[in-house]
Amino acid sequence: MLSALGDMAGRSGHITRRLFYVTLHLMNPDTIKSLIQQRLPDALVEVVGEDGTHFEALVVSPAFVGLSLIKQHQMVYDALGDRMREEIHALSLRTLTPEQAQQLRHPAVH
Amino acid sequence: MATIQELIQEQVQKHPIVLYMKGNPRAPQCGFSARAVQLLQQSGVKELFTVDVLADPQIRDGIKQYSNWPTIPQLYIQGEFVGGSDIMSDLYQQGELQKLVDSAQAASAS
Repeated sequence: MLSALGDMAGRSGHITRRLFYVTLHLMNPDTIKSLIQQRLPDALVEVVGEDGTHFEALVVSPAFVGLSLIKQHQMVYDALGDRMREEIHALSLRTLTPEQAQQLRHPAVH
Repeated sequence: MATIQELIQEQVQKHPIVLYMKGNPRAPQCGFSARAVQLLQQSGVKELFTVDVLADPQIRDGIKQYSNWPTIPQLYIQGEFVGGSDIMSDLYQQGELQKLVDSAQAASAS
């Protein structure tokens, strides 16, 4: 983003067009959801976030079974690729296996 | 002349508990970093080594490569990458963060 701004400053004649380009690329929850689902087709994905840069995502997938939390989150970050660095300022992420999600909905009685 | 990756490795191995964050514990510059510091304090951390990534762009980029993790904050305990603030929250709620902190502090005291 910084380099893009530097670029704009250097070629002020293109500022209007460039800003429009940046605006078009603001993320929305549906875009994030479909990017995650492309990588994890079996996943249930919920994404909320209205400001274009801060989001919360819940991802439930059988692909997470047996993986550490770090690996689970890395799979989601990989699905988002460079956008995670450049366009998404903050993503609060929660990953669950289907079994964990089931337990949350119907907690076992101890 | 040490590379950034070598410098990071030295930091996480020299100090038992290291948090790469935005700002410092007294003045965090981001809600996620503030949350991470709070969780560590609640977990009984006595000695926390923090690195302000906003003060050094090379560390800010380098730490993301070191862990293959795109976001800040990042917690390292006994040289191992533990996760970001979401994973820290999950671990804290399970009582696991406290255990990691306890064992790191016991190891460094002996």
